[in-house]
Amino acid sequence: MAPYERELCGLLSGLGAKFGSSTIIKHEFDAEKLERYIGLFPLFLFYLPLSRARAFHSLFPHMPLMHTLANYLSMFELLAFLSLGMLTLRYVELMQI
Amino acid sequence: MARTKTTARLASSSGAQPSASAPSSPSTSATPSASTQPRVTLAPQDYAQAYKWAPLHLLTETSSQLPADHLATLLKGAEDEPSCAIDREDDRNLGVRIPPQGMPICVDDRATNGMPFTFIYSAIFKRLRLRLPLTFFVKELLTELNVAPCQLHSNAWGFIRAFEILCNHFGHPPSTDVFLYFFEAKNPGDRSWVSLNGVTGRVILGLYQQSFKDWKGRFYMITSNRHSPSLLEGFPLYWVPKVEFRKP
Repeated sequence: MAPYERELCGLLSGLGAKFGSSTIIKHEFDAEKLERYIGLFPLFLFYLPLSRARAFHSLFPHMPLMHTLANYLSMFELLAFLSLGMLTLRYVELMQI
Repeated sequence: MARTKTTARLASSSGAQPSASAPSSPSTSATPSASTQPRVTLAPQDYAQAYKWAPLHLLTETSSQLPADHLATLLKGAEDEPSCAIDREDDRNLGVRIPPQGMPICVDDRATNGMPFTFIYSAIFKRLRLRLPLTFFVKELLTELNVAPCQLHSNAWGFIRAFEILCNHFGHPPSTDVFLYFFEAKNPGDRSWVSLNGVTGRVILGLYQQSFKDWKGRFYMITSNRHSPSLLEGFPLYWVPKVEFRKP
């Protein structure tokens, strides 16, 4: 496979959800609905260990960094990362006081 | 990024069945050239002789169940079937017609005096919104699987269409290799039509319909005019006998 094909494979595998073909075809010409369906669908399945942070990609579709994050971070990992960041900030804030 | 949907402007004719015709609006139809009219050279009784490999259920699979206004609604788009979507620049060079009466799905250009054509089920246009000409991805996939468009089960077309839309949504060109990473073809066996399955552990798309009904017996003959013969090149046009797939 070419590099872009490997990237596409990773992206699709990383979605971590089984999408309905009929819904995708139905929303083909409605980019907003399609975005909402593909982007937020895994949110409802975030309890699955392999579900990915696709919602972030839908919020920032043109940001390569978020794209990468969506590829490689699960929802749990992302939440843990954010929580850790917030705790660290809070700790620094407390220490300064 | 919203994609716009334009109306079909396809050359159309009704083949041997008299009443199906394109919408009369000049902006939505074009007159087919004489070269696109298929000249049928085989009589219905000759098909069994000419296609000895074909089982009876293929020889009896003819496009006889299409209502008279079916083609018109495909080109125009009906209220309840808004999925009419044959929208590319080349639409003037393609012809969509109802096949001559009694012509089975498994025939090749021997039946039309050498004029190339391919059959596509109407459900693929109407319900799965396939547009013509076929994309490079679809042509490549058909070539890789070595099947004609009419040989694929409608649910398999559902996977192909949804995969294309999904890839386009992510801004990636759809790729045959990636598609075949996620999907595998099932040997048709006695059923004749080729189905696709999600590879275990890599299922990303569900079936279009658990039980896809009422698609057989309704197909169109797709032709191209002599100015753009390439529109029907790059994939198997006619039913490929005895398709077999090997597990990778």
